[in-house]
Amino acid sequence: MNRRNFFRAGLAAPAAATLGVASSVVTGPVQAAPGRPLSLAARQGFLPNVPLVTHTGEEVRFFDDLVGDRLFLLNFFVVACPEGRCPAANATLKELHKMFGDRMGRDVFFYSVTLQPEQDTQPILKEYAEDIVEAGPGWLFLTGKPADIENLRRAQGFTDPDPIRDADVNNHSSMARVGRDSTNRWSMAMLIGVSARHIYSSIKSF
Amino acid sequence: MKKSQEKLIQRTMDVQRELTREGLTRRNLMKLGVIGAGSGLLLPIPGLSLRAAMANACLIPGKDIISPRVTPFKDPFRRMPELTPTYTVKSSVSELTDAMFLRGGKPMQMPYSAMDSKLKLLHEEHPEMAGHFPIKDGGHQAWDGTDSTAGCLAPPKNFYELRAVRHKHVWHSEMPAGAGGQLAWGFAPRNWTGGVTGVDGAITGVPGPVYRQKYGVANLVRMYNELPDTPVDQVGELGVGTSTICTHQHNNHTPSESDGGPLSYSYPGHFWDFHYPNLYAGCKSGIASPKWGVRGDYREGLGTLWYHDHKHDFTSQNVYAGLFGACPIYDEVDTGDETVLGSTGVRFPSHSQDAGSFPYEFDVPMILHDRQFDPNGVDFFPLGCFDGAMGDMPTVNGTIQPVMKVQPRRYRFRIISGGPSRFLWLWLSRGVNTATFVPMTVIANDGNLLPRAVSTQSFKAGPGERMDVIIDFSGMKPGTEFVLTNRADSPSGRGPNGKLLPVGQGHNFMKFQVEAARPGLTDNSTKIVNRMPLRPLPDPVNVAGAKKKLWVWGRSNGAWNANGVYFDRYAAPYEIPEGTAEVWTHKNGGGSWSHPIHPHNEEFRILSRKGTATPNPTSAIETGRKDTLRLDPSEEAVTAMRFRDWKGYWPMHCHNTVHEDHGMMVLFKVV
Repeated sequence: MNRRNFFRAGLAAPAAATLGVASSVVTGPVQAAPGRPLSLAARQGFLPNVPLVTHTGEEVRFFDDLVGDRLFLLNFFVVACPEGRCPAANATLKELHKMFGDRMGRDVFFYSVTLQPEQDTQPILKEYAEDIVEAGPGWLFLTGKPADIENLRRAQGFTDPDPIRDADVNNHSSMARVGRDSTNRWSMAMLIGVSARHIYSSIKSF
Repeated sequence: MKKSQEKLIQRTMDVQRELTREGLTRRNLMKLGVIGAGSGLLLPIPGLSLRAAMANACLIPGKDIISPRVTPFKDPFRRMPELTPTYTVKSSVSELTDAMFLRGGKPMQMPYSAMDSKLKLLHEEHPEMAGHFPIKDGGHQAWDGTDSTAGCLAPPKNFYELRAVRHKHVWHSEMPAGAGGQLAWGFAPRNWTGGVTGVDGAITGVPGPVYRQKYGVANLVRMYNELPDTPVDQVGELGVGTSTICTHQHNNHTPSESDGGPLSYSYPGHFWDFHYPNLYAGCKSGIASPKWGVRGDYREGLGTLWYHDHKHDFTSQNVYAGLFGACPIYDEVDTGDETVLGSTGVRFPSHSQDAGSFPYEFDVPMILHDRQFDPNGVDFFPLGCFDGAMGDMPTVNGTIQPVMKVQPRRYRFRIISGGPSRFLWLWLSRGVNTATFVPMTVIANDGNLLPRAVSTQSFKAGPGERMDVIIDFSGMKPGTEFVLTNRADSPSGRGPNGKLLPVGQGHNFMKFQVEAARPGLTDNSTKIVNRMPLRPLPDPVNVAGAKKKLWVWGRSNGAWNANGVYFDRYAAPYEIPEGTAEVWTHKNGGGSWSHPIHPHNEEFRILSRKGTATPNPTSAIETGRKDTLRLDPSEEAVTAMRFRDWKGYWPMHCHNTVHEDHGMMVLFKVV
């Protein structure tokens, strides 16, 4: 069965049902940090305050705990990665991690969010991050409820206009959001096929 | 969890583990067969996981997000202030000294002035710029610091100063958040002596001032970057952009270091000197008989140029923030004075001779772009949409749907399709939303005077393209109204679907309202009729002898690419020997999007188009020289282009600047 027929056969239903399970979609306004007005990006729904779980088991909220005034890279991945593109993206992130050096975990963070949260549970992410990718400080792998992740993915634009392709995890974007809310710098970086040097030069002074 | 899924996880973890152990380098990834050369990915893993099939994050303007209602055709059309030179060289370029231009005690670096010691400094601080400019040549290619004028050397004569500034801008007087203006970026004259000032004391800078250039008169334009380095106080207002800017003059034929390409950074507190020799293409390679003392081939003369930001990754945001303006160029064909007959026998509208007239009154640049506002009337830029940035508010020269009072005579409008992403298919209706369309005469495409004028009811212009049109209001009764409307049906930022919006449903950009003729009004301009010769075409490129090159403009991994490759300053550029010509085929890699392809440096000619695109109803408009090629879905076009006079790096990119910012740009190097 090809993908299109698979989709048409109504097998989209389980995913939709999964979506309905989660009740933690944050629809209310996010709160500004003390002493700082809320940025336009936050006010216009670009930075949903969804709850997520880090690979170390910490419960966090995207806007409150991860955005802050940090320079961050946000990408989406799966452990059982289709077509090898996640290892390739990780390779670039590893190089970038080296280039950022001791800024990692201080004012620079990488957030890799799974697109298959039911499979990529926190213990699996812990093994993946610590033993397999050997991610250094400031690089968090995140899971959560499907609807929350879906909310974040869509707000940040990691979608395909074709709903069939959009629903296909094999087709997920290999870009990373690069941003710093406190300085209003927002761009995207392609993590495969582009040199880490280029990305580093482009984003280091956000 | 299913056993097969567990296996898959185990297998990919093994791969990842081995990669980590071996060092996660591209080379190792390729060796292990995880990725192929380029961005091709091997190791296919079958299986489909369905995520929620939800709508794209790209909001549809006017449907998913609606700007507050404002009264159309209420605010007046904004003319760009005319920028005059700060200094004009009297006898020798040595008059241009550092001390003359440094003001306000601000330390400024001089990346491309003739001062080598400071030139070095910028590149030591910012090694990411190194390698992309001919540093070792001492800066400007076309100016050796003396008054020499051999070949393409052209010492600057006029010195202009522009500032990139932060200011308050009113997009419409009724826009709730914009009553006192909302924060924007723009360009302001250095030597401004009057008018409304915004924050930072800057004259409203959207669009920037217009500076009029002339062939044979080289300009040095100093662009001061006075944008805020630490934008803390703008949080909550202007949510996009970067204050590291690159000001590109689209599409003057200039040395690469003055092109203002994607890597020509100017940091806050610094400036960049742009040297525009204003010589015709071919100045170096021996065009035998220069006209009116200007070297090069006068048939390569340009016209409607505009300047806008070009910082890689940020072009769409920075232009949206307001960093754009116009700078047309004149010569003996297109004299800029309608009392002076051009050498091909045409007087183009410029100014009347009556008391109420002012220079260039009837030669009007207008930059069209669409914007989106949130329900509070605050600027909205779709940061999460990589198809394109679309808005439901058409603007002209920074005003939403302005009204322009016009005299009953001929006007030249330089219509600049400013994007970021919307394609135009423009019509002029008599009255608002009527089916009575009035012919216009297109005289230039991408600023280049056509070999022959084209009278038409409509024309298309993708982002980045320019069309100069003559609209004749003579004999019209006072109160007669015309509306410039865009009828291209563009359901998303990916481009138009080829259909025409029904009458009355187009996006109305602006209204012209004819006034009673003022006393003494004259019109010395030529009544330009269909097929009237304007500027002859240069000799065609020898196609048989030219190198051929295919460029495929596509999409992969969620981003846009050129020949499968995303923009990377460190990627080896495509090299072209200086003085040669090539035949490039541009192919649209997809069936549902459009790309306006814009190579910098010289103009090209379109040799042929094929594919399934809707035929351009006005293809005669494309017979001339172009700098931006509109590629409709699945379309393929063959072009011929020369690479003369200058060396260095130039970009070629999609002028849907959202595509450009998400990978769709390459550098080529003329060696």
